[in-house]
Amino acid sequence: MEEAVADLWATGVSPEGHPTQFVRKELDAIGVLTSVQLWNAEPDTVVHVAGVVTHRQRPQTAQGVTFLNLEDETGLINVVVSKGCWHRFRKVAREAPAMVVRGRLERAEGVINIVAERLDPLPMAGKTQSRDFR
Amino acid sequence: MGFNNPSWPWSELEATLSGQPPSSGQQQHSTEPINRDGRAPGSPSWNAGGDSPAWSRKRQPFKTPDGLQRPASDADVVPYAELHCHSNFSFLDGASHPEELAIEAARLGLTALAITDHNGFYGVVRFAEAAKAVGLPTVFGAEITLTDGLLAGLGVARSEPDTDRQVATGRVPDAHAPDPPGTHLLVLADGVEGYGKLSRALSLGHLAGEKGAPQFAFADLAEMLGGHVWVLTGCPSSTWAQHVSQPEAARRARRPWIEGFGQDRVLVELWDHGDPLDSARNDALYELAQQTGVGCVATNNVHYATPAQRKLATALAAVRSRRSLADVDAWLPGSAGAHLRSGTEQQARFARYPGAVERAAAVGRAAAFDLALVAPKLPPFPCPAGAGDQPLTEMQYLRQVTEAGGTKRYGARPTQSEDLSLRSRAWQTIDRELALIEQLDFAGYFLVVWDLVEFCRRSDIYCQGRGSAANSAVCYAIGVTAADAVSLGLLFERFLSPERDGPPDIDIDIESDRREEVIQYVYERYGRHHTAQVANVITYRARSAVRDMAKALGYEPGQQDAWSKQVDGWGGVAVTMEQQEQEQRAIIPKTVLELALEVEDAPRHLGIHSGGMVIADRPVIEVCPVEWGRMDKRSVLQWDKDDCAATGLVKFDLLGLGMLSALHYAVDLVREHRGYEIDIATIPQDDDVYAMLCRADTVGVFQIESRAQMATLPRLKPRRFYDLVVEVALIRPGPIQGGSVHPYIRRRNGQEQVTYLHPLLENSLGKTLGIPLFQEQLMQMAIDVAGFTPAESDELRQAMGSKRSARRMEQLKQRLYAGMATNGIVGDVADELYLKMKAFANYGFPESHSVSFAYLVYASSWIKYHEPAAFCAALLNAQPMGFWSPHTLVRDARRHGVVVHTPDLNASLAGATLELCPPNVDGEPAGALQGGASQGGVSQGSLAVRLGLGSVRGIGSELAKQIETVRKEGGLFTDTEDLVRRVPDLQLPQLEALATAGVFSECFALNRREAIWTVGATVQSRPGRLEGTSPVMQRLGCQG
Repeated sequence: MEEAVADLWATGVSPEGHPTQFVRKELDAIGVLTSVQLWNAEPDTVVHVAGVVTHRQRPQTAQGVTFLNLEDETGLINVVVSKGCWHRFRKVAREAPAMVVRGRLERAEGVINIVAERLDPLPMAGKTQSRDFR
Repeated sequence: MGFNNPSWPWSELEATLSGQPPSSGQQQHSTEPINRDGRAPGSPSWNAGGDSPAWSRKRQPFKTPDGLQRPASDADVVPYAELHCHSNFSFLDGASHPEELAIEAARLGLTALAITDHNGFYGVVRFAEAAKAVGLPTVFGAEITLTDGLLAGLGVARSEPDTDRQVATGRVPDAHAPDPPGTHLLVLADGVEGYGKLSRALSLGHLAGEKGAPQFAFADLAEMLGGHVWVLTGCPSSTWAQHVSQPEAARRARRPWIEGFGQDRVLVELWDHGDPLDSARNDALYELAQQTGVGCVATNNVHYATPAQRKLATALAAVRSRRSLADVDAWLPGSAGAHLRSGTEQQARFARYPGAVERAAAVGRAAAFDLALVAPKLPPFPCPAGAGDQPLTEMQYLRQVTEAGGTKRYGARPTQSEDLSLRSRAWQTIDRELALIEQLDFAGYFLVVWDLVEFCRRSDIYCQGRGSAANSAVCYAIGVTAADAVSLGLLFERFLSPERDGPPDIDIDIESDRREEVIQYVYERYGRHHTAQVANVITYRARSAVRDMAKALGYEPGQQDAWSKQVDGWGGVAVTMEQQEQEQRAIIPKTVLELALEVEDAPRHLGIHSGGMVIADRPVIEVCPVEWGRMDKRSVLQWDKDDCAATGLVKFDLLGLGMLSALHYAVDLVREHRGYEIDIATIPQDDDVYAMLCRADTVGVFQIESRAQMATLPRLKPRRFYDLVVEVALIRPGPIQGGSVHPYIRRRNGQEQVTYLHPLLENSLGKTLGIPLFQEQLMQMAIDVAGFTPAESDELRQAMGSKRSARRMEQLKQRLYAGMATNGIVGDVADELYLKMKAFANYGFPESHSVSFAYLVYASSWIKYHEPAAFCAALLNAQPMGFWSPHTLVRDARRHGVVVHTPDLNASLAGATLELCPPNVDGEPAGALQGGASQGGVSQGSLAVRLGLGSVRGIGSELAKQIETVRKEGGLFTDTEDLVRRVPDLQLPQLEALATAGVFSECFALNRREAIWTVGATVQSRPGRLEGTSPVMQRLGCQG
């Protein structure tokens, strides 16, 4: 873990480790799923996911909806944050480098989205930088 | 170009395209919000350049505000022209947009208004557009800051006060002083010729200095401008005002003015802001003018349009001087006097000085002109000699080049007897295009582009034309584009048609890491006075506005940071204010927010546009001043892309595309490490690659790697090249994510039947299942249903896309209905068809552009699938680019079984590279994951990615390159001391970063903690010292 943190600090790339893998035990304990496990979860159920925020996007035509991309050690997770939810948790939404998201799982034609209901910060060693777009 | 999103919601477009009746709300769209500058918010424009998803904004046309009241008749107003007026393009020394000033001047009924920003013509195009709309005559000028010590042609000797200041402060004058040093000279052009000369003088002054520090000498200005401008003695920072109390000095100082600019061209400027000393000074200046025999004019030294903006003006003054308002207070004017005043008001103020107001009006009238400058043409292209030593004309040369290129692409011209086939069709198309190019006289334009592409080819720089140029067979023949317009059946008229004004747009994507070479080639080839880059005006955004206004109000830097972070980067200041009000807590003080709201969108400074270059036949510096950019060797216009378009400057977009760099690196890596050559132009089609795309396994792939694209790929299931063309067009920022599914996808998946409104549409819409996706289809529809010519259809497309040409649109509409009627399309069907076309007009994507981009999509997909290691390394080396961060790219490569090693001092190059890796290094068979690379037949797992030294924090590519070179020349490094001695530029923080990154772990078997200790000790060992004698080293007994 120390090496992964050092890698992220020094080069921004850690080939062997991902920040979430070092807290996976704790995440497992509170029932957080990985991006791979999402494929086995029932659609329309409420799930928890966690990861490093790689992108925040709010396209003009999406009427205030924000799209977050989380990354955990197994892959990428799409999160949709409504205007109200963003507002309610906006400190976390705007600033947290990593977060735990509770939300409804949507799955259609090979695409998985988590429609967020709650955002919590995930304290983590190793700093990553998200890319935020309009 | 019409790549703007329309101002109405996607849901309605979707409904219209799906054939549902339009909702009743459609009429509301005309009520767009209007910004302070009298324009609707800019719409995002596809033309931004660079990789998505950053779209630039296009400036909207100025609209005269509805409630604008003007004086009822000329008899009511005292004629007066304001000759000294700063807009916010004086960067922090003016508070109003040029448009606001024009509106206020019209309201006051001014005879004319001069715009006189500091050292430039930054805001003149916007100003001219607004002034024209409100019917205000315009004068163009600038307030030039003379370089200290170069007054009156006295050479470089510094003036006495400057020397005094230097002695007192121990430093040269500070540009951020509350009362900035330097003497001002206010210059007004007396017409088109004067404008050109002033522009030239401004350019030369800027080019003589450096960014932000131009050099203007009085003698130079007098020589270049004498007889073509009026000079005003100007504000407090002019020699005349400075010398009022010293008559002798004043007499000495004014002689060069009169000699240089002419007795009748020097005007003594009087202004009255209500300061205690204003009257006394004006009296003295008036007397001085009488003695000297020069005229007096009244001005108001305007810095904002209305008194209400004074608060903002003072806050900006504080920002400029880098002090808080409290600290700068003593230098600020006591009252809100520097606003635009009417003739009546000025008449009352300047009653003591007869003639001053009248003369201002007279000069304003004489100097005013319309900024409809003659747009410069392209320079003549240097053509080689033809038969009989006569140089070829541009057209002859273009024909010759096209003939050669066309023969290579399509084969020789078929003879009369043989016909049919693509070949004869291609040559017919080429001839038709050439005839039109000749008719429109654009041969030179094509040759310039061809020359650039040839330069890239010679220098082994990847480049590719983008946009509508790919509709042209000539562009394909001369190698500008990669898409064969003939076999794809693309409409040339989308690119070039007789009805278009101005040359076509040919944008070239160039691999981003080498774009600078192409830019410098253009400078070299056409000269610094004839070509320059287009500027990008950096404006205040919500966050910077809050930060700067908090600074002005004297809050601590930490506080400024905290607040600016609170601001929602997406919503603007208004949204943040709303949030605070809703929650009834004031995190950010209201005073800060109110000022921030006012300053939002105001220009802050000038940047460089991502790729635009203007090339002209006469010196472009005489049209728009040129100054140095922040980047080395870049000279930049003072206008942005919208300004250039409005004045008709011919712009070439040389855009940097990270993916072209990545492809180039990948091809090089594959050649070096796998021993075969990939030709990007002829990559074979491969089902496995499409299978990968259907899985949405596209991290790193060009264009379709973003989340929106990934979400559609499994639905679209691309299986052939044309599907990629559709995919590129289908997803634009926004729509699909808005919740509804595109009708094309519904049809594609059989959830909806493929139907056509009329059988005649099957020709144009067949390939996209009855849903229009491309602009070319709109044109084809008009051709098929109403018998339009291709040129007419392009006109229709453009007219539908813009709101400006309502009359022309009406004519075309009638023509369309008449044409449809002859084909039996009438009534509801005709209406619905028209509505559909109109809905789509602005929304569609040019097919040609999609095709060009789809080539890159496929090429990058192919490499990702077949050479995942090379792909990953290439992407890392081309950073920053694309959607995903390096970390995600590496994780993705790992998921595909690629082994990735951390940087190592003796194994890494400056950038990422490939190396052979022993099999089963960590027990995990490489290439076993879903990537499918191992199915390709070659054993893929044997190549691993080795990260580069340049990726380590604080090292940078130059230092990394240096380490690489030193190692190549002198052999492997033996220990950290060896490194420090051979690369003495490495400092302790960099060594520690290297140690932290583990670059000594493999080569010296030092773990990271040991390594950090060791570098701390060895850093004292330098070339000047004996090896192994560093005291710490000895004490630690450390041998490195």
